[in-house]
Amino acid sequence: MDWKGCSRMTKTINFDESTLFTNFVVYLFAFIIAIGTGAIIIFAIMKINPFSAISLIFSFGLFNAFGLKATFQYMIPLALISLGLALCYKAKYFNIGADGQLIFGTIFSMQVIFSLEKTTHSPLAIPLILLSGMVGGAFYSLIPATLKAKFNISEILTTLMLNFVAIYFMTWLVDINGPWKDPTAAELESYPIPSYYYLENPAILLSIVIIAIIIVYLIDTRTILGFQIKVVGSSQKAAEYSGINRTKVYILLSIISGALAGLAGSINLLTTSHILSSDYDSVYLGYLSIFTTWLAALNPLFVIMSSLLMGVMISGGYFMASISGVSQLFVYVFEGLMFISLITFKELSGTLRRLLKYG
Amino acid sequence: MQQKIAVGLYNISKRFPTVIALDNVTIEAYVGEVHAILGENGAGKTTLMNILFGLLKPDAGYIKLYDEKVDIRSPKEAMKLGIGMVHQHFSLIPTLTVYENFKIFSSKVRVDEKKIIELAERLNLKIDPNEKVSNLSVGERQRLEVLRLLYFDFKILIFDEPTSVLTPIETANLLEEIRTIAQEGRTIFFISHKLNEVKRVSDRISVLKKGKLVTTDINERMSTEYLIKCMIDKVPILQQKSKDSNSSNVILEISNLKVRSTKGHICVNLKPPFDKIKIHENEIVGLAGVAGSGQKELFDAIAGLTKVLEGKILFKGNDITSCSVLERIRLGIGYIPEDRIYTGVAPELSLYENFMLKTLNNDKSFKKSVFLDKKKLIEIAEKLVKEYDIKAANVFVPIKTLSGGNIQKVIVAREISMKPSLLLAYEPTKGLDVGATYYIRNKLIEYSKEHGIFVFSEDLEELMSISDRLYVIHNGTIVKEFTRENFDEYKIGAAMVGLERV
Repeated sequence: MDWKGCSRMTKTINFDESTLFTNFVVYLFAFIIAIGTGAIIIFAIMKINPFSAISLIFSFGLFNAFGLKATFQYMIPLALISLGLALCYKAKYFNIGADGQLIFGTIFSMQVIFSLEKTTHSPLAIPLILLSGMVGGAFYSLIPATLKAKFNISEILTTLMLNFVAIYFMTWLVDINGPWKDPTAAELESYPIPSYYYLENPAILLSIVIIAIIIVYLIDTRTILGFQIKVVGSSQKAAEYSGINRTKVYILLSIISGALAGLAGSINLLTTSHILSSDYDSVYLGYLSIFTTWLAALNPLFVIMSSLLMGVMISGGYFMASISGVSQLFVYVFEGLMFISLITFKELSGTLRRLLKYG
Repeated sequence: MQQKIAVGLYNISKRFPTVIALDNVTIEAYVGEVHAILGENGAGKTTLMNILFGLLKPDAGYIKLYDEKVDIRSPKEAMKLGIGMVHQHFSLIPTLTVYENFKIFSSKVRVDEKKIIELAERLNLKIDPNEKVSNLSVGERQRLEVLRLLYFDFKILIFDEPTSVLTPIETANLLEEIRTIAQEGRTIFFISHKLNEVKRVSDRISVLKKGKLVTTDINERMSTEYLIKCMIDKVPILQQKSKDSNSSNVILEISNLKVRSTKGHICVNLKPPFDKIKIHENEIVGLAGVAGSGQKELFDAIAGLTKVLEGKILFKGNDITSCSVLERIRLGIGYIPEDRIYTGVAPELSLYENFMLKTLNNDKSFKKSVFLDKKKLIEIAEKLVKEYDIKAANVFVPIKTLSGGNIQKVIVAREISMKPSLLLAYEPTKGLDVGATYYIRNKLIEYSKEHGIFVFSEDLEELMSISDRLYVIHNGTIVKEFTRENFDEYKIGAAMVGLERV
């Protein structure tokens, strides 16, 4: 009876032994192929020893105090955004607008910080700032969700376009005559946030992520909403037939994923950037999260690992670029290659298994 | 009279990774005969024919054509040898005309419009070679497919479940045609699990069971009962309905219903004298109609999946015309839908999750505070799997890995387990083998003792065997109503194609 209970445990997280193994093999292959391809490119074009370049990425990103801090700063928002996206993609709701939602979370938080400054400083201020970020992200994410639910307009197009709207709106805020432009700064930047709002305690940040993982995991596996998300993702017709309210599912999904992206923006503001800038270097966190979400196989429990890997690659990539002379852009090439080889190998592994099975 | 053997399949065996599909099967077919291959789904009929047609390679055994050993390695070679196959799914290209469809079939033989017309007339088929195939009915396409094989002079024809998409009248025509063309010196393999058709059309019958040949004999020498016994281990008995359907409780009353299809035309339009459909508690009401007569839209309208243009649907006396799907499920309307794979189940989800697809919205006892009571859901699923004899490794496998018959059983099990007052059953046994078909029919009859069932089926025999009453739908309008006492296959069939109005 024991083994039965055990297999049930693994099944309930939708990961039986064989798929776990194949997934592992697939990822390993993808990773090796990506590194191999990357290595060849470095070697062929840049005439640099590829293995030392790659080992630099990981040694700095993981084993250097500064590098680890930077890794962490990327990992936290990536993990938060990926959690929301994992739910969206389970419903085949292809939200690629996390960047826009993140920016609106940041803007809302900034607005709250500016209004708080006029009153006295309170210990409740930081939770309030984070909450406002979540509201901002959710608000911005509701726009495409409503269009999708009511008029069946492709969320891929709307979320993509709304990213640009958000980016240019933010740029306008800090533009030369923008309302938030800091006149003393040389760059196009907002006034910085006061230092007592800085949130740099890694324990707090990590707890926020872990709480978010637990909540999303429970929604996914233990609630009716999680079940309905999977039904909508599997077949819209089956959802309609079984009386599931698609509108409600899309709205709830967009609130959850938007709030998480907004929270990521808010945390990024308090921990890393401290200002709003037209050259906002977290702008592509949303796009990178699409990758980390797929890398985690849409499983909320694996998001932390895929985000860690991505975080290492970004922070280690900057370091490698400065030390070895390989362009930092190489890291982006590397990520792209890895993503492509990952999805290719996932397809190939299906074919491979079929071949082994039926000869 | 010594008959000449046209096709000889000798000691054919074929093994698939998990199953022995064919085990030492030997079948000989004569020139000029219709040779039926009968068997349940999964008995190996299609595998055997795929081997003859060159789609599969046998692990052992050999094939002889007209006493000459042949090696058929691809459909192309099979066709070169004069073997033609009429598939379940047609191979005609709908956007091309009849003539063009003939022309693309072979580059060697000249295609002549006159010859097509002549050949068609010989088979009582009126056809315009310049008509687009998409404008033809399903039955006409089927016959056109046969016509094309005749035109190119194929001597050996394989019909793989050819009647599954045809109306009774089209079926009768096709069977007639098969007899005619066999008598002209061709050899016909007729693959089916429908006993009555096999009895009607064939000279000799071979029965396969689990990959083994059970018997081959002349049609007249084998009774229906004997054939069923050969096909399956346990002879199914259809429960007899106890005849006391004079309950007065009307569960469902539909009046003057009008529904517009997705393409925009009116596809359901109830008008006098049959402007009302009534279903009582404890009866099975059948609905007969040819494909596309509006039956699907009628069922969808009752289930709430399609908007109603005009008219009223009363359920237990309450107007539910504007209720949502969920409200109707809660009120007690169950629905076995036409499309199983994408509508009836969520294909990627597991077996047990598909059992809870609808119950979840309905029953608060599956919840522990805000969370789902998974243990209970799994227990219920395991119980239903056992009760309905659903073949699956466990309840956690994705439902799309199950066979069509087992998926259908899951849907039927789920709908009945919810105990709806009204069960809408659209082709509840389509594609099921004899054993499962009888099982589900019995379940429906048993369920109808206390609840109402509205069933649509293309299989008239099924409708007549389980229904207490029967409506015939033609062009979206109910044209006739029959009670059990005056069921008549030909009268019903005539009404289905609109020949006999009121």
